[in-house]
Amino acid sequence: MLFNSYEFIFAFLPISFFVYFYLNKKRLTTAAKAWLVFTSLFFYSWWNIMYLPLILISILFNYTITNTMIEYDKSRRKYFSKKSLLHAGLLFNIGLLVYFKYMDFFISNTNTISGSDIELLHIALPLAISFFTLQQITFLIDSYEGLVKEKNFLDYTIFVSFFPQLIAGPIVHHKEMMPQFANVRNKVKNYKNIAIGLFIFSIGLFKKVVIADTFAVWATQGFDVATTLNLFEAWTTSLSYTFQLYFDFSGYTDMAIGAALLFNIRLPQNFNSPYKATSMIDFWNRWHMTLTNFITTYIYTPIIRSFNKLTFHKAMIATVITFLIAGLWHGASWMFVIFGGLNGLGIVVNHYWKIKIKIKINKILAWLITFNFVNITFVFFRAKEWNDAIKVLSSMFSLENIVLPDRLENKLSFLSSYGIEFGAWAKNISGDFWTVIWIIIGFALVLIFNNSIQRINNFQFNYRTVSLAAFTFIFSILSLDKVSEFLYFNF
Amino acid sequence: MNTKKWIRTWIVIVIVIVPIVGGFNYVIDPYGENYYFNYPGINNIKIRRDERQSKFNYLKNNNNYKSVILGNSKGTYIDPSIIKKYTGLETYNASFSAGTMDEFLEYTKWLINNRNIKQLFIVFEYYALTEFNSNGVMPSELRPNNSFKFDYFSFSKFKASTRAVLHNIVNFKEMRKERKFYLDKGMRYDTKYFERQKSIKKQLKHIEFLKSEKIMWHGKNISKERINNLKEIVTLCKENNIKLFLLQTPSSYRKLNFNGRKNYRKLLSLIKSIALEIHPVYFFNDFNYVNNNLEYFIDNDHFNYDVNEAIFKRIFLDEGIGLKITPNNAYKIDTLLL
Repeated sequence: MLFNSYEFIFAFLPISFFVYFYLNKKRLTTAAKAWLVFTSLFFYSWWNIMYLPLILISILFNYTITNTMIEYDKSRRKYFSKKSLLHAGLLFNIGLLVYFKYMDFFISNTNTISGSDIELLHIALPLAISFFTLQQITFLIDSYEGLVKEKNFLDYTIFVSFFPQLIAGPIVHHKEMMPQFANVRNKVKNYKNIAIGLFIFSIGLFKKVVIADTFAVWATQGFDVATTLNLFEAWTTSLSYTFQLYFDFSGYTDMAIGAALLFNIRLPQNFNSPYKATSMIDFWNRWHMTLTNFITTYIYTPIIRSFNKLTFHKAMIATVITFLIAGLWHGASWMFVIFGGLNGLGIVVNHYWKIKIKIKINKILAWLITFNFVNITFVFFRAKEWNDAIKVLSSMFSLENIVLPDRLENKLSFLSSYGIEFGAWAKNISGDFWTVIWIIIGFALVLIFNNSIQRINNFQFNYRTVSLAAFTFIFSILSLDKVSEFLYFNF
Repeated sequence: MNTKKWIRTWIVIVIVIVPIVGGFNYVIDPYGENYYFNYPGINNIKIRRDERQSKFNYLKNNNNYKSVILGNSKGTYIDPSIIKKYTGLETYNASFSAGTMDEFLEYTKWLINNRNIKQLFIVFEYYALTEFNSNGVMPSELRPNNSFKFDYFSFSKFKASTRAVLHNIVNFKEMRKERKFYLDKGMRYDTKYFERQKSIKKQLKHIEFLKSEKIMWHGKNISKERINNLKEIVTLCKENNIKLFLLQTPSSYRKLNFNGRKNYRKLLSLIKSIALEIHPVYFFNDFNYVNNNLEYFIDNDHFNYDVNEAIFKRIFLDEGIGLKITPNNAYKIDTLLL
């Protein structure tokens, strides 16, 4: 079920909300939790009920393993070591990911390298597998480390399957979620949370339905349809995707945060105006923050720990490895590996500059370099194939394919002698004058305005905020006739 | 403002505005989907969106037609009032661009189940019986597994409603003119044709354009499925006492000569097999004076208004251009194959 659909907004969400608090009001707290589990699994199954057994098996297996680890020290008979339990759990989770997400990738690469002809399995990627697997890995590792005490099955199931964050995050940590589900005060309707939840949900819906889906048209045309691009079209294609990705994903996160807040659950912040970043380190502290936290804690730190003696160079190698893994986590394609690798190198250069070169760069120049670097790496993130990425990038940096609008021909005809043409300047991406306006709006929104989390931190209950929330919601609802999926559903 | 008041205000604004927009769209009905409220000068002239859907909507909401033309873009240039002149039956032109036989079958079924029609004209091109895919989207009511779509609460429809009202108020006269040609008849309205008629210079320029225009033939392999669709249409018409006319309307000689007449030969074979095995065909591509004179064409595929009369003289008076190909005279096709 999509957040930006009538069935979610007008049926699923209100029914889930009212029944949950009704059960809590009647002091049927276990039933309320069970209801939340049921609604979350219903939400998950709406796409394809065939995936339901997979998530259930994953939850049951991980719960059994972690519960055994929690009980391990108390039990007298020890048939196996705690470490072997951890390994079994990790093997299961990573195996699940490898099988469903990467098997065909490995087979096609093996075929290319060895010249073999192994048939691809064409396994459909189960929805949200990357997200719920990551969350369970954190729980598994922390249980092994003795950091987990909770062992209530319902709480665990809600932690994994809670519908606002189930499909595309934010990636939540059990430490911040389980206590909230257990807290008695959260079982009573909180009107402040409801109001803020409605506010941020409305903003998120608007970001997705109105802004991201507008940019999606030009990005899709440029990457998937056009065979050639001129300079303007290439830049518009890449910028459109950069804006689409941010508004789509941060819009989804806002809706997730808003929906969770209705149930008095605070989800962690996932974006902090990332396109305002003035360095790559800064960018990754602002972009998909919960993923950054995860990879730092559960990938980067263990790699660092594995070194006998930590040096700057070793830390940088760990950074690149971490980003390569993070890139591959997004999808089974070399394009994602390149995206991860480029970002890893960007971070390395940033650290090197900070520690070894130590020259301060002008803030605007720093922003310009960072934003453009991010914009270029997103070309690899979006392109389905190497050739698509090269098509966009080569046109972005080629001065041989400049086309200006017809109407400028009279005033700027002397430019023809420099090879500049006049004519269809945005035809290949189905663009027009409004494309330029939207790109300007995109920059204004990401650079000038406060982000939604800053807005809720300074939230005031007045007519301004209620009008903003109501009109963004209404405008979005009236734009729902062209429903589209969220980009991160594919990862 | 306290939190409860904030929530109440949010709910009230949403509850008031969303139904207002939905209601406005429903009343104005910009694309003619329900025709419940028709106010001259406000909304009774609808906005054209998708040709298939808007013509179907019109047909769905008007029960006075006893005769219907189904066809491709060439069919859209047929004036149904000429048919009325010969048969006395009120005729609607429901033709749409790149129409194929599978689509015509669904329309025929709908017409038989929902309307009391007496005669049916099917204007088809070669591609209508091949595996050619036009990407045309059939009206939702005619599609298999039709799912109900309620889209009145839509901003894009709100824009269309506003546009419809403005058009009705501001461009009323212009739209009346268009309505005369297009909406009530389902006929395509080509203003350029009338402009060219008035100016010899423009007409000459137009002929020069036709001589250099790129020729296109769509469709490669004949589709057995679509041949069966045609057979089903013929059977349905027989069972329901509907007089069926199959028409292969004129194209220019440039189109027929294209590719050393290879495509033309394929067309002739197809026409012959239809005439022999399925149903007689009125065939207007025998290099008659219309085919051979570019003055009769809007482009190399589409004939202009003057040709209408000539087509129906052959059908109803058995005189003038074209041939009626039947099993008895199908051999005539062979002479064209030479």
